[in-house]
Amino acid sequence: MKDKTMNIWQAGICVFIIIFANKILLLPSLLYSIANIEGMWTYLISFIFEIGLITLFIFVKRKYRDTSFAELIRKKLGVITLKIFYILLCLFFFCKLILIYNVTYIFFKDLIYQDSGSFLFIICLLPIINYLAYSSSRVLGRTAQLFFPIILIVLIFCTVTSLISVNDMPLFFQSSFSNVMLAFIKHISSFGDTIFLFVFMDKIEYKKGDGKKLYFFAGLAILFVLLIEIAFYFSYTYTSFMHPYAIFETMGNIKDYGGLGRIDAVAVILVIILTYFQMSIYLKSFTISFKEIFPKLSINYALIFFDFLFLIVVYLFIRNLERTVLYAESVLPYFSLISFVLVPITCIVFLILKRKREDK
Amino acid sequence: MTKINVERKIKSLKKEMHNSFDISDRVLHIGNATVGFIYLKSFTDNLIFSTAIYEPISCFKGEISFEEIKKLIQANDIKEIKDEEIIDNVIKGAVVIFISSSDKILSVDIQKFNTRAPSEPPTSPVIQGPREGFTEDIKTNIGLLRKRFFSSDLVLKNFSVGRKTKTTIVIAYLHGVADKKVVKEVEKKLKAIDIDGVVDSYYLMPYLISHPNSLFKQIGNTEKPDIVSAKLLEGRVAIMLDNTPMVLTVPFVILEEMQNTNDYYTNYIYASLLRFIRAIGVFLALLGPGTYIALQLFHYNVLPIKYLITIADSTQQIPFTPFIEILFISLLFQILYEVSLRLPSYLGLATSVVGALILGDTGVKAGLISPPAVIVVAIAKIALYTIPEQSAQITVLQFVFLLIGASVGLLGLLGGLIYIIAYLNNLENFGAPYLAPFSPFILSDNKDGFVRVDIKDMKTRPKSFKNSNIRRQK
Repeated sequence: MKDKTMNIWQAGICVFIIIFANKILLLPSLLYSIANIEGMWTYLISFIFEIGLITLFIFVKRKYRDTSFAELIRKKLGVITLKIFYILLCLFFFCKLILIYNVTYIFFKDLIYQDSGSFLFIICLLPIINYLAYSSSRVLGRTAQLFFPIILIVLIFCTVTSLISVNDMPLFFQSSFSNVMLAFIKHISSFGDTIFLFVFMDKIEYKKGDGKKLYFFAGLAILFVLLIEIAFYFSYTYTSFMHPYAIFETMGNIKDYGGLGRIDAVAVILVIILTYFQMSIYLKSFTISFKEIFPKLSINYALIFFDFLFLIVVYLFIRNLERTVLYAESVLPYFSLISFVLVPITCIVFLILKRKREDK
Repeated sequence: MTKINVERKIKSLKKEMHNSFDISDRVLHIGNATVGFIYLKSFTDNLIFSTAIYEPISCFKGEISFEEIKKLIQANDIKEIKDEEIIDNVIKGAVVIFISSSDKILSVDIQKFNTRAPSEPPTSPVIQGPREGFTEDIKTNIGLLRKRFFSSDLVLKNFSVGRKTKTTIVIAYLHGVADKKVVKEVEKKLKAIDIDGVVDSYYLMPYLISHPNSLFKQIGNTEKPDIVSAKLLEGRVAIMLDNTPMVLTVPFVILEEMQNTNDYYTNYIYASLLRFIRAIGVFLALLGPGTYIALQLFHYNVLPIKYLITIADSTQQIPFTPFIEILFISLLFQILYEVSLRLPSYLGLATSVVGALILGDTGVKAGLISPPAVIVVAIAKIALYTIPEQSAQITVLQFVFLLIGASVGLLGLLGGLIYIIAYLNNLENFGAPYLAPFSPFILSDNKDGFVRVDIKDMKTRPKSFKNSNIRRQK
């Protein structure tokens, strides 16, 4: 059965969610601990890469409109390359899912589920992300689209209330450029998320001029991330590394806002919604990649395989802040080579091949 | 030309119809010919039969022929039928006439059945606007629709469904507005129904929808001709069934439940506010009790301290857990609702007073239930009826969310909400996405979505489903 496609607006919303979602909790304090306030430049560097990936996607999509990325690799580079490529992609998405789960698990456990066990989180998350990954790309896109206004309203509210808490502008250039790059390389696994676009390539409807819409959503996500970083770094400045949950912490500074009391609870709703969608997009990408490795197996097998592996990994490892950070800094950066090196090079090769054929 | 033995023919027809007591027959000998009549006295207009059919024929002098009979009858609906159609015609309220000198058979439709006059339907009361409602008689219903369209573009197609009941179904649509494919699909689905009988339009629903096991309503239904007219103008197809005032409309999108007839007969700004309130009502009804439980059991630390103290004060003497407490009050409400629906109105009022005032008040005073819990359930149950057509679905989901809130808290509640939205995004009927025009987002259709703009600004028909002509006004 051919998977139903999502339109470019829905794809743009997925790009927004993916770029924004995992950068507002743990990452700002981790970057600060390496590069001080210059951690913000790390974001800018990563966003250049992110925009670069989107640009590459638009170019490849324009040239090979109805072809999937897997089909392109199969035709140009052969079946064995395809299998290796998609095994790596599967691993990449799986590792990202583990990271997201752990980061959000620690966040929820600390703030709203102090007395609950980890099984509760798995009960909540797994069925929903499985269902969204099992459904067509269209359903995933449409569901994200319906929640987008809620995300946007809550986000604007969070950003504005966060910016209110800013006191002084801290001193810039306290750290060197090498530290900025070190922070980027150490936490490279938190970036390069728009790689999912390539896996979804044939599942996105694309017309002439649609690229602008993707840039718009990516730009919007970048803007919000930067505003929240500014609010966070400018509020805590020298103690940023001690506060792991950026968006939540800055909002917590506004106590009893308009008599409503704990308005920071709104950020929790935002994080929950973003987590569900981010994990669903990654799991969908995982299942699509799995299908390319084992074309004869149905999507159910991909989900069963994932759930089984996920449960084992989650129970055996991590589930505390130190181990999660260690995992993100030592294991994941290797997998990020896929999004920062492998996929871009492959795309450039495809584009050169197409140019050569057109020249002939 | 073969001749008919009229007496024998009538006898055999009566036998075929199992000699039901309401079968009437008359035989006249005029000249050399014998004329026979057979009809159902319970289902025909006896006055018309006597004055327009029987009397003119019986007063005839001389040799009577089949053509002469046709001329003598003073009724409108006369047709020649075949032998195998006799019983069908008789049971539908026609008088069937034979003459011994001819093998031709005549059917005169004089069906009469007492039906109520069109009145305001209890399911859709209006403050302003038309109060007419459909009745159980399909001819009256067709008339109510016809008088709203003085145009030949209103197409009505009829056929029957049910092997035993042979109930008349009429499909209504506007030529040049409704999509032909949708009309054909409706016809195809209805003609494929093979059932012994249908007694209400709800019987047809499972045959028309693509997800029959779904909790959610996938077909529009109304008792009001003005609503059906508006839907036909948007390009929808209406399905009318004899013996029921409920008319079905397809394609259906969930937005239709947000819209109310009163919205169109009042100021559009006020109508938009009402729609917004309805949306809030749905969310309160769906998530209110579940969220209250989740906050109490899992996330009490996110509650502002003043609220937390108030809740703690009122719940500390309660012997039940918050979940049992809310579940108990919800079930009590549901029981009272069921009782008040089925009892006569004077008794229903008494049970409401006993249930709501006495049980609620004494429950709180006895320390069995807390006031915040009563307030939460009361708000949720009242909010349920901001969209009464979806109250059944929301009631089920309310209990589901209650269970989720008690088991896994806020994370589960939002997960459940995402699941339901994703599930609804999977639903499509007659090519219309269920959640359109919200997802997929269709800007022009949102002019009549959460907000309603002025009628003169609604230039196009809905794009959420297919229609033949998108433009309504220049």
